[in-house]
Amino acid sequence: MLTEDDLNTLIRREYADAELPAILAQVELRGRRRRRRVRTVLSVSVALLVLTVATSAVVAADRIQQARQVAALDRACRSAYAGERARLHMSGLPDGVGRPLLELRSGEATFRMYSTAPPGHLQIVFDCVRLADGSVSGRITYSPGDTRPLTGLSIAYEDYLPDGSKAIVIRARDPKDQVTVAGTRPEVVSASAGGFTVLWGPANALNAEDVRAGGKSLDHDEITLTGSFQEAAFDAYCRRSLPARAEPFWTALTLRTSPFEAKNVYRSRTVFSVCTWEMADDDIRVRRNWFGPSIKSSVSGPTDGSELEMGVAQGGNRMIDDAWWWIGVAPLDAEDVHLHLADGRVVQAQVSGGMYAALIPAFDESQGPPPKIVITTPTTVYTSTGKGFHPTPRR
Amino acid sequence: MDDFAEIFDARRDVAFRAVLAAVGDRPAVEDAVAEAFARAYQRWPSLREHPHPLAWVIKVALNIARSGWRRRRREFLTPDPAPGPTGPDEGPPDDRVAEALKALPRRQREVVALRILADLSAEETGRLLGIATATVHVHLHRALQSLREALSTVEAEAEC
Repeated sequence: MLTEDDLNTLIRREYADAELPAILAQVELRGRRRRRRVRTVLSVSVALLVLTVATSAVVAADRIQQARQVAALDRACRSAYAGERARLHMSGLPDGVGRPLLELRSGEATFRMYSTAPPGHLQIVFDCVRLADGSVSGRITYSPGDTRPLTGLSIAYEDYLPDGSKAIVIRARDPKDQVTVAGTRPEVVSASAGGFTVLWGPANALNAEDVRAGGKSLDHDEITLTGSFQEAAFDAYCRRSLPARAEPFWTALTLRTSPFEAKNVYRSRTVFSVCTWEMADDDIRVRRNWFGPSIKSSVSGPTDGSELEMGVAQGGNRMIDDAWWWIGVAPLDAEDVHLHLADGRVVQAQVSGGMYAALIPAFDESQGPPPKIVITTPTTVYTSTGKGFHPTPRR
Repeated sequence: MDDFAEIFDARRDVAFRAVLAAVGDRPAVEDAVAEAFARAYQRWPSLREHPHPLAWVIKVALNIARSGWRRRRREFLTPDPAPGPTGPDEGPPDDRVAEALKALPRRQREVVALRILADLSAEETGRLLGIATATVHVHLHRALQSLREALSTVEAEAEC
C-alpha cells in the first residue's frame, strides 16, 4: 500500500528530469518582442540612384520676398518639429533639426525633409510640409543609428497629407539599389539626397506597391509608420494587413484611449482583425522609446471560413501600461456589452459594427478571460457561461 | 532585472514541471511557460512586488496552455519569430505515474501539480485556482486516493 509520502516521491521523481528548454536570453527577447513586434529601422549609409528629379523649380522674381518666405517656412518647420517632439514619448530627441536635407515643390506647396544623427546613435527623420493653403505640419520618425538591416530597406514610410497628397520616404540599405516606380505619373515629383528618396504626389497616383527599392516592392512588410501618429497612414497600413479575402471588411471600432496607442478593429463576415500602433517605452528604466512605434495586427475567427459567432474574442495587454484589452464579436445590432471580471469588477465595453472592446485598467492577466459577458440587443440579452452564450428575451 | 534572472533560473523548471503535470501537452506547455515568463519579464518592475511571482507565472501559463480561444487565435497570428527550442522528447511522460495523473479530473491534477511539484501551500494553491483552501485539501485527498488505487492496480498486474 503506497503511503502519501511514497506518492509524493513517485510524482516528484516522475517529473524530476523535465526541464524548460527556453533559456533566460530567449525569454527576455520574447518579452521585449512583446513590446516591439515591428521596429522602425534606420541608418544605413547608402546613396540611392535618383529615380527622377522632376522637382518644380520656382524662380521668384522678388528675391527679398522669397527670402522672407523661406525664413517663414524655416520658422514654421522648427515650430512643427518642437510640437511633434513634445508629443512623442521620447526624451532623447535633439532640440532642433538643422538644415533641410532636401526640398520638393509642387505648385504652392513645399515638402522638406530633415535628417540628423545626434550623439547617442539615434537617427531622426523629420518631414515638414507647407500646403497651398499655408498650413504647416510635420512628422518625426527615428531609430538607433547603428541598426543595420541585412536586406531591403532601412526605412520606408508614407505621409498622408491633409490636402489629399501622399509622400513616400525611402532609404535603401545598399548604395547601388535603385528606386523605381511602375507607371510613373507626371504629377508625382521626387528628389534624392543623402541616401534618401522622396516621392510626392496625389494619393491616388502614388501607390507604395508600385515602388521598388532595394530589389523589393514596398509591400506591407517593408512599410512602417512614423513616430508621429497619422490616422490615414495607420488605416492604410492596417488594411494592407487584412487577409486577402473576397468578402468586404468594415471598420467596426476605432479605439483612441491614449496619445501613445491607437487600435482599429476591422470585421468581415468570417473574421475580425485588431490592428495596433503603440509608442511604448523600449527602456522602461529611463522611459524611452528607442525604435519608434510598435505596429501589430492579428486576425481571429473560425478556421473553416464559417460565420463569426459570439464567443470569438482575443485579449492582450497594452505595452504602455498594465491595462488589458478584451475584444470580441457581438451581434450587429448589439447596444450594450458588460464584462464581469473574476476580481468582481464590471466593465462596460464600447460596441459598434458587430464588435465590442473593453479596456480593463490594472488587469492581472492571471485572472484569465472574463468569466461572464452580457450582450444586449434590442430584443435579446445574451449571457456567456464559459461554454457559449445563452439568449433570453429582453424585458 | 537581475532578480528576474534569479527567479527564472531558480524556478523555471519548477514552473514547467507543475504546468506539465497539470496540462500534459509538452510542446504547448513549453510554449506557455516560456510565454508566461516573457510576460513576467515585460512587467517585472511591478510584478517583483507580487507576494508569489512563481504562482503568478504558473497561473498565467495554465491560462495560456488550456485556453481554447488563444489556441484558435494562434492559428491566425503572425508566427512568433523566436519560439524556444524544443527538447528531444516531444511527448508527455508516458509511464504509469504520468498516465495515472492524466486520468485524474483536471482540478485534481492541478492541485497535485501545485501542491506537490510547485510546493505551494494549500492557501496559495486555493488562491491561484480560485477555490477554497478546504476544497484544495479535498481535491488532493481524492487525487492521492485515485493515484494510490491506479498505481496499486498496475503493481498488482505487474506481479501477476
